[in-house]
Amino acid sequence: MAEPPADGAAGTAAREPWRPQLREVSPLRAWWVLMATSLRVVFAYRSNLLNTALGSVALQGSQLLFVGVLLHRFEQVGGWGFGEVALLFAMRLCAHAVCTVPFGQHSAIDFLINEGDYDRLLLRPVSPFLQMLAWRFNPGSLGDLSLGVVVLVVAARLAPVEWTAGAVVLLVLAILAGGLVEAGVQFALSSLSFRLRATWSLKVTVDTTFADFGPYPLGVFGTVGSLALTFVLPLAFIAYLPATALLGRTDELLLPAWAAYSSLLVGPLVFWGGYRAFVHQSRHYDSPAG
Amino acid sequence: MTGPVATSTTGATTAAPAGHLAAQARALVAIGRQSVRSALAVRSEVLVSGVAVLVRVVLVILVWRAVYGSTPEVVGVDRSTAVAYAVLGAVFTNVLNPFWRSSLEMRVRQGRIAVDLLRPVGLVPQTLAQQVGTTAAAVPRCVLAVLLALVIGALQAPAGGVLGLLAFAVSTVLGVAVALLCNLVVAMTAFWTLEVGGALMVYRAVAQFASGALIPLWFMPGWLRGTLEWLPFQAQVFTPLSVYFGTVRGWDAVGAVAVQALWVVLLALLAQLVWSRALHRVVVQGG
Repeated sequence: MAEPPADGAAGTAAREPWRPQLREVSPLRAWWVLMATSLRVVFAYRSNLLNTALGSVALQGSQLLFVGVLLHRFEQVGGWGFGEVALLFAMRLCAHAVCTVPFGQHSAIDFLINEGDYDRLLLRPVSPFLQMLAWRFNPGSLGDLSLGVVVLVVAARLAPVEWTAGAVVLLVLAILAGGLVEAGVQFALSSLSFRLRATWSLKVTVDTTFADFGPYPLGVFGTVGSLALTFVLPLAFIAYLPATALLGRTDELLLPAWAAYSSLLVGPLVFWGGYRAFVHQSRHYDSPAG
Repeated sequence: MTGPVATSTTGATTAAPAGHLAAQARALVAIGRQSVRSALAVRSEVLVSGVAVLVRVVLVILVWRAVYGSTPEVVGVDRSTAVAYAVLGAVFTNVLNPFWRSSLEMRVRQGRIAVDLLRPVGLVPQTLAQQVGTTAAAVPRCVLAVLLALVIGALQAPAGGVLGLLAFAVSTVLGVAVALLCNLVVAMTAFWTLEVGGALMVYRAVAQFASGALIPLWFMPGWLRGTLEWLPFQAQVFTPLSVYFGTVRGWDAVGAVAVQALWVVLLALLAQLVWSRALHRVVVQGG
């Protein structure tokens, strides 16, 4: 095992029949090495980075503008005022960035499978799932993150919340958990690509539903709508439930008050479930190269 | 090869015989039909897009009903009109502002643009025919969404009877034309930058908001509305819907439709201008 781990396979090829000699690399380290390379690629094309990030800012910003105009005219939505809706919007967008910055490459799965690039992932000694996540960094996610942080800082001042240490910890954990919920859902949808080949519409639909209907208190969707957006499409866990805890509005929930904190547990669970679904379905991979 | 390319892409500028024009028209119809077929090729995608627009319509109905609550009227717009507007706005935006990237950008990037340029039909008509095909493929799911809204009482028939319906149809066709031409102009920036993903996203976001598809211009502050009225976006969605709800009628409606037609002409000229410049910038990748 004298060879350096990164190019060990190529180094031994000349001496004996092809047999890669591999050293175990921790998955986290492998992911980071691949991700760092993807990031370098993205930062090499500065204008494209800026363009795409601006695209994401515009996309999320148009929703912000919409909600802004709505509240300018109506003053409240489902009983929530400007500061409260702003906090909900910001938490949702930050959670979205927690999903898209490290895990956004799930969107490449259709392409990887249909163009045969998934074959290449299978040849390397790192989990194909991790390789997919580091495939090509989407610079748009940096737009999500920047806008999310800016809106969060502003919204934190506008929202009627007393920012004790506990509240800040809850806010941060809730955003992380919300991002895990979204990532888990997208992983699960990505897993369908091994069978359906085309999951793009499905993923975009879920993504835009989260983005466009995330900034409203769930009450506006009625009982059936609220339950559907909690248990069928888990939008409630991304930001709404913990936001009710921060804003002291748990009495409006259809669920018991402790459910407001449930996303902290649900997030990691959905994430793990999505990952397992992906690994499980990937066994059905059928290379387009035959 | 440059000689035939240049003459074929400028197409009809030479005095073309009628037979030639008919052949061009047949080719464009074939491109459009092919594009409908490819949009409907994957069953699961068709199903998902259909369900997606229905779900969106239901959600916007719920949001707007909740926003109004028990208030009967805000800035002269009653609750049922606002809800119905939101329904049609969601349907329009589904057709006019899809996430799908223009095929033009992809073909420039992949170098397949060389093949497109060799065809005996100009590139601009080719691209427009493709876009018309993709738009047509979206019509069935939108009809379903409109029917759903009618059935659950969130939408009523257009104001002004048959004449109103006719005016709405004309205004819608012009709105679609404005949207397609805007898409085309944005997509053609690919000839300069090769990567237009960001530009298309910015365009999509601006168009959604400024066209009045998300929220009617009625609710916007005066200065914002005043600005948006000078842009082509409101001609995409807000004008047809204003005709539908009868907020512009009579000569005002005729004027609004004339403004749309003016935008179609201006944007077509702009597209032609951009295209004549783009032709000199074509880089055939991999070629």
